[in-house]
Amino acid sequence: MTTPTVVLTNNKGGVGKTTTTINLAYGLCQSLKQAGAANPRVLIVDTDSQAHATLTATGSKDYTRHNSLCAVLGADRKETTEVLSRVIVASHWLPELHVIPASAELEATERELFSTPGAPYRLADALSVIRHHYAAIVIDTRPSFSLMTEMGLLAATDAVITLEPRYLETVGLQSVINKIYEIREGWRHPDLRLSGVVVTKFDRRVKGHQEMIESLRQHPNLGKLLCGIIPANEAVAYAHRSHLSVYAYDPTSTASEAYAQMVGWMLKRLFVKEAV
Amino acid sequence: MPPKHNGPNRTLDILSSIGDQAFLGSEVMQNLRDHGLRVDRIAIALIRPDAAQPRRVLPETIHRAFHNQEITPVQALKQYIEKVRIISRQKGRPFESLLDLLVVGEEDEGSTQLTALEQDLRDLTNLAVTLRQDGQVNPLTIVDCSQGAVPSYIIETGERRYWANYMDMEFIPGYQGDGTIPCIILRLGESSVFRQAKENTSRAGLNAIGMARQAALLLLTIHDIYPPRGHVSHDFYREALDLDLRGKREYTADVLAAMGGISLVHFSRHKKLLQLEDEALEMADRYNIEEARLRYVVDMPLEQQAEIIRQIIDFGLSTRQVKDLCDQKFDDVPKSDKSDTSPKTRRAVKVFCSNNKPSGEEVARILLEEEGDVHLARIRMESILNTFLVAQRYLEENENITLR
Ligand SMILES: Nc1ncnc2c1ncn2[C@@H]1O[C@H](COP(=O)(O)OP(=O)(O)O)[C@@H](O)[C@H]1O
Ligand SMILES: [Mg+2]
Repeated sequence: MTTPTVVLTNNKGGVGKTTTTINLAYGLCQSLKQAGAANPRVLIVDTDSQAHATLTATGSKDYTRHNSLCAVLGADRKETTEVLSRVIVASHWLPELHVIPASAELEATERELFSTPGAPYRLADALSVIRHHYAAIVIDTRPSFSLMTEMGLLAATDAVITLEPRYLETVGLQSVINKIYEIREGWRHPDLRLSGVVVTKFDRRVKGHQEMIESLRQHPNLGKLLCGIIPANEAVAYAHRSHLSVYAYDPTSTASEAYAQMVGWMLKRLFVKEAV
Repeated sequence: MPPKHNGPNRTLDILSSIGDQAFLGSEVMQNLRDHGLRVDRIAIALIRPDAAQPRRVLPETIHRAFHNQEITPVQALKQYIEKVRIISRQKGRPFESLLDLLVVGEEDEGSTQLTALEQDLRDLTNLAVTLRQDGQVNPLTIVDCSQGAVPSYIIETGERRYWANYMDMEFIPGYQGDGTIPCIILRLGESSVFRQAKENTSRAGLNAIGMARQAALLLLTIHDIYPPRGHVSHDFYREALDLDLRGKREYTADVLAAMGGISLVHFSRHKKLLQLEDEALEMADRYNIEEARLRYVVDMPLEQQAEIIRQIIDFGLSTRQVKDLCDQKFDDVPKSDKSDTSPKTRRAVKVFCSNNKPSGEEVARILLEEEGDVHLARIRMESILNTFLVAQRYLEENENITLR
C-alpha cells in the first residue's frame, strides 16, 4: 500500500483549505500515535507562497528558496533525498508531524519550471523517495489552478474539496471536480480519487447554509463524500493567529469537535480498505 | 477571547476513540502496529549500514572512513573499486569498467586465482547485475532510527544488497530506478542482534573473523555493552575477550543457536581469534582464513602474527603446515636441525624472507651510516655477498635435505 497523500483543493481563497490542512494533519498524526502505529509520522507540504500553513505549524515563515519547497522542486534527481532531509522540519506541535515549508520565492520557482519538461511531476517525483517514511502526507494548495496546484494534485492519492456553504459555491464545486477529473484522465493519474468534501464556516442559523448541506447530502455521488461540516467558529481564527491547532487552542470548541470527527472519517477512508 | 477550558471535552474523546480497535477494526490496528509485515520502498540515501555488523563488505580502511562519515557511500565504493583496480593491474589483468571485471574473472576461471579483494568485488558486481536483471531485490531489514524531522534507517540485514544497489545506481550505466529499495522496517526497540546473527550465520555464513566478531557482539550485548557511534574498532570487539557465557547461562542456548548452532568450544575458539593483532586480523578476514589454521597463529607473539598469515596466504599453507610453522617459530629452533644457529642470524635472514624485505638502496644507506664512508661500506658489502654465496653453495650441495 502506498502512503495516502491528501491534497486540499479549491481554486477559491479563504475557504478554509489551510485551516483544514493543518488540523487534519495534526489530527491524523495524533490518532495514529494513539493507535500505537509503528509509524505515526505525518508530513504537511505547503505549496502556497503565502506560507500560512508553514507559519502556523512551525511558528516561522523565514524560509528561503534554499530551505523550502523551492529547493526540493529545483533539486536534481540524485540530490532529492539529501535536499528533502535538509528541508523537512518538525512542527512545533508534535515531533512526528513534519513540514516541507513554503517560501515567498515559490512563485519564481514555479515560473522557472514552466519551460522544464516534466515540471508537473516534480513534486510527485520528489515525494516518491520520501513517501514511505510517512504514514500520511497532506498537501495544502494555493487558491488557483496554477502549475503548483497541478503538481499537488499529481502528487496526491486523495483529493478533498474545501467549500464554504455560500449559495454560489456549488457552481464552483463543479469546476473543482472537473479539474480533478482532468488530472486523473488527462494526465493519466488514475490513482487520484475524489475522497471528500468538507464544508467550512458553516452557520446553522443561516437558512441557505442548511439548504446547501441538505442538497449536498442528497447528491447521488457527493453525498457519500461529505466528510466534515466545520462550523464558523471564532476559535479557528484565534488558533490561527496563535499558531496553534484548533484542538490545542480550544478543545471544547465546536470547530475542534467537528475537525476531530472529520479526522476519524478520513482515517477510515485512508486506512480501511473497504470503507466508504 | 480567551479559550474556554470548561465543559465536557468531546474533541479529545473523539480523537482518542479514533485510535480504538472498535473504531478502526482489529485488522487495521494490527497493520498500523506491525509495520514490520509490510514491505516499503525507502530511499537508499536514508539508509546506513550497521557499523558493528560482523560481516565486512568493504575493506577495513574504507569501512573505517565510511563509518566515521569521512566519505559518502559512493566515494566508499569508488575507493574500493580503485583499490581493486590497482591490484588487478599489478596482476596483469586490468579492467576498465566493472562489467569487464566480470568477464576477466570468467575467462580466467580455473587458470588464474583471483585475489580475495578481486573476488569480493566481482561477487558484489555480480549481485548488482542480478538486481538489475531481476528488477527487484529481496527486501532489506532496516531499523527506523529517525530523530525529529531527520529520517534515518540502519540496516539489520542485507548490507551486501545495499552496496550492490549503490553499485547498480552509480557504477553500472543505464540505471532506471528511482533511488529507493524495498525494506521491511522495524521500530528501534524491535531490532535484534540475535536475529541479525542468525541471518549472518545461515546461508552464506560468516568467515572465521566474522564469527569472532559475531560471538563478541552477542556476548557484549548480553552484558549490556553496546557499540559506540561511528566506526567500530577491533578493540570494541576485543572487550569480549574478558567476558564469557558462564555468568549468563540463561542466554547460552540462544547465543549458540544464533551462532548457527555451534558448540561452546567452537564459540570460545572463534572469540579467541580477536587476540590476533590488527594487521593479522584484517588479512585473515580479507582472505577468509579458517579458524582451524588461525588457531595456531593466535598463540604466537603479536609481532610474528602478520608475517605468518602472509605466509599462509602466499603459500597456501595447510592446517598441518601452519601448526608446524608455528611450533617451529615458537621454539625458535627448527626441530630437525641439530646445528647451532644463533637467534641473531635467524632474525637477519628472516628480514630478507619477509614480504617487506629491505630494498637494496636501503641496505646500502645503512651500510654507509654504519661504516662511515663508501670505501669501507663496499668492503663490508663484499663480505656480506661472500656469506650469501657460501649459503647458496651449501643449498646446492645439500639438495636432498628436508626439514619438514
Ligand atoms: N470554521 C471557521 N470558522 C471561522 N473562521 C475560519 C474557519 N475556517 C477558516 N477560518 C478563517 O478564514 C480565513 C481563511 O481560512 P484559510 O484556511 O486560510 O483558507 P484558504 O487556505 O482556503 O485560503 C482564516 O482567517 C481562517 O482563520
Ligand atoms: Mg491557504
